Amino acid sequence: MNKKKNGSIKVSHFFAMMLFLFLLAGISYVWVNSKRTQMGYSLSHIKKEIGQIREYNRKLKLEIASLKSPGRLESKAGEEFDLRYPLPQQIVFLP
Amino acid sequence: MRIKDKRWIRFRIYITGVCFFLVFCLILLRAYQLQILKGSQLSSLAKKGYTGKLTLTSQRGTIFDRNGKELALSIEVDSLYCNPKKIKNKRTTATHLARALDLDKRDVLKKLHSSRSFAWIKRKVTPEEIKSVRELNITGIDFTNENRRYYPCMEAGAHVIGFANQDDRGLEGIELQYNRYLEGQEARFSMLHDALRRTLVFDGSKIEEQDPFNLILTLDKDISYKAQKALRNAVQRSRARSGVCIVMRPQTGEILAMAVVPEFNPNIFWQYQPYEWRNRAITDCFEPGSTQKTFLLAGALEEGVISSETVLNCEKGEYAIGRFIIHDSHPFEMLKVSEIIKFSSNIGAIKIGQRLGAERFNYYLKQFGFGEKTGIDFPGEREGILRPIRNMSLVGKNTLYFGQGLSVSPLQLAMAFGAIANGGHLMRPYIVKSIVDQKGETIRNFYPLIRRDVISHETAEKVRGILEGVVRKDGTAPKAAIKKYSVAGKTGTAQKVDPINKTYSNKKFVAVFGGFTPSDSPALVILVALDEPKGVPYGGVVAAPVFSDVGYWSLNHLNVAPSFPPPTRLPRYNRGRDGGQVNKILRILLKEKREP
Repeated sequence: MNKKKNGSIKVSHFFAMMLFLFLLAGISYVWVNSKRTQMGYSLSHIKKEIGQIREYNRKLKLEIASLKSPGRLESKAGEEFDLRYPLPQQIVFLP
Repeated sequence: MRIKDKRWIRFRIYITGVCFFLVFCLILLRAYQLQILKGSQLSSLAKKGYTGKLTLTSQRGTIFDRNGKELALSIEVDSLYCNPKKIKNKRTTATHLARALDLDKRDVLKKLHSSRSFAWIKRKVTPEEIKSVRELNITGIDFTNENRRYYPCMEAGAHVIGFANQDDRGLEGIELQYNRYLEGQEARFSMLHDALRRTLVFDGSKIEEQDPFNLILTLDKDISYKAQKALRNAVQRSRARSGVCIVMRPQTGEILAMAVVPEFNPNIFWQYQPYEWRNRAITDCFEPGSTQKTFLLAGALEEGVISSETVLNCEKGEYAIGRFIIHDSHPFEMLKVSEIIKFSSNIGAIKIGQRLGAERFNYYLKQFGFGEKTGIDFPGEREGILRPIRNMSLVGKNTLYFGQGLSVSPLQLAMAFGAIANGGHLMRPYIVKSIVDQKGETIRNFYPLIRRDVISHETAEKVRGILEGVVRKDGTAPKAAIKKYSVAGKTGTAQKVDPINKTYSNKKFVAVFGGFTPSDSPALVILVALDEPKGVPYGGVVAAPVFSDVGYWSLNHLNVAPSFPPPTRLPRYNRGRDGGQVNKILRILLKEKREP
């Protein structure tokens, strides 16, 4: 009688363990999926930000190119700093 | 418990078990139906719900100069559109929009009355305009992103770079020629999204994409600016109709600058007339005038029919060919060949030509590239006119020797001067140095190409020596001389043909100066041509100063060492505040150089 009782306890323990593992696996699966979705959103957000930064970078490049355009530099140098091109006799060529 | 009761309980358990079993079988059957029988159909239906395709138009490629400076690049800007069906008070909306965007109210109203659900209001608007439209807060008006092309150097190099239209398609210049490389293709991406259509995973897996390529040109942005400025000033000073200035490397055929006046700003190209967009250095042809004597001299020296010391009779400035009399600007008598070129005697040129022969001269003209395209990578090139000798009259053959009866493009002329500077090798000109992808890796390189050897190295050296005389004080172009650098070149003042009378005009000229510097080791070939200058029309007066100005600036910019040895004694600079310090530094530098 005791042997029979011990056997049924072991079986119920086994089933409880199996149920626990099944639940654990299920929870883990849901958690991983949820994390994956969150990562997806943040990845998408970062990609968008990269696109915006790249575009901003291009705009800055255009601004630099415009600010460094020879015409603008020449007029600024003349107007603001009173700079002039040196005359041929003012240039010394070093040997 | 009675046995009957026990049996009843067992029966109920069995019934419950059977029910569960049947339900389980039904679930299995349904699962089989959904997963196996309709599996592929349903999974594709589900996929449609959470995946999508995003279409992006990639930006047009960037154009750089030889030093990696941006000449043309695209950035995203906002464009304004409307859904006319959603706009309630169209008249008031049109008034507000017209005021905010500086548009005609009737045009805006016409767009708002459109039967379609989409109409552009204004494309590529400025940030200020965006702000003012947003403040209006009108339903049915929205913004979308578009690419806009910008040209930071504005007029400098504009005729070479060309421009692209609103839809990012190249219309002129390099933008047109290399449109297929520069053009951004539509890129389609796969993506996942949630029920609210928010992008869930933007995995970047591209279904189809062709990134545009960037171009690296041979142009130098600074030299282009200088050439444009110097040419603009010369055209304004001489009140010429137009002007061209080409700066080229003779050893490679790389075009460093190609300035054209009338000029245009490619950022607002639609505000200019099409004739202002034209790259006259490539598309326009004119009679080369006395610059042609350079190639006559080269041919005659190559054939050995003359030497630089050969003396020819210049007939005191008048020489009869049939019933026509050819004149010189000064009545020369006996002149050496070098002097004929130096003083640009037409009669002397005829005498050289008669020794060479018209057929052989024509052969050399063809060898120098006249009458055929140079092969430059640019749209709309003209080959000019070089008629066969058999179709020419006696006077036609003789006037050909001093540059009448044929037409050449400024680029052809520059390349021919380049052949002399380059020891007789005629090069193919080119503007695009390489095509690179977005990561900077080279896709295609363009290399210098020798089209043919026209004359020997020795003949080229002799021609160089004679052309140096042209820029001396007693030559026809002392204004082309560059301080501390040797210059070789030739002037030309060609009469234009009057299209009505079909005779040579005495009022309309093309003034030309072509040459290279430093003549002993040429770094630059520069050609300047001014169309119909008013006042004194001579090439040595109106075109030569541009050569000198652009040449001097460009040689310094390129750090080309001067031809003449530097002074052993340093000049004193005491004018500036730091004059003493500069002298001290220079003395130290020279001392260190000399001591070892």
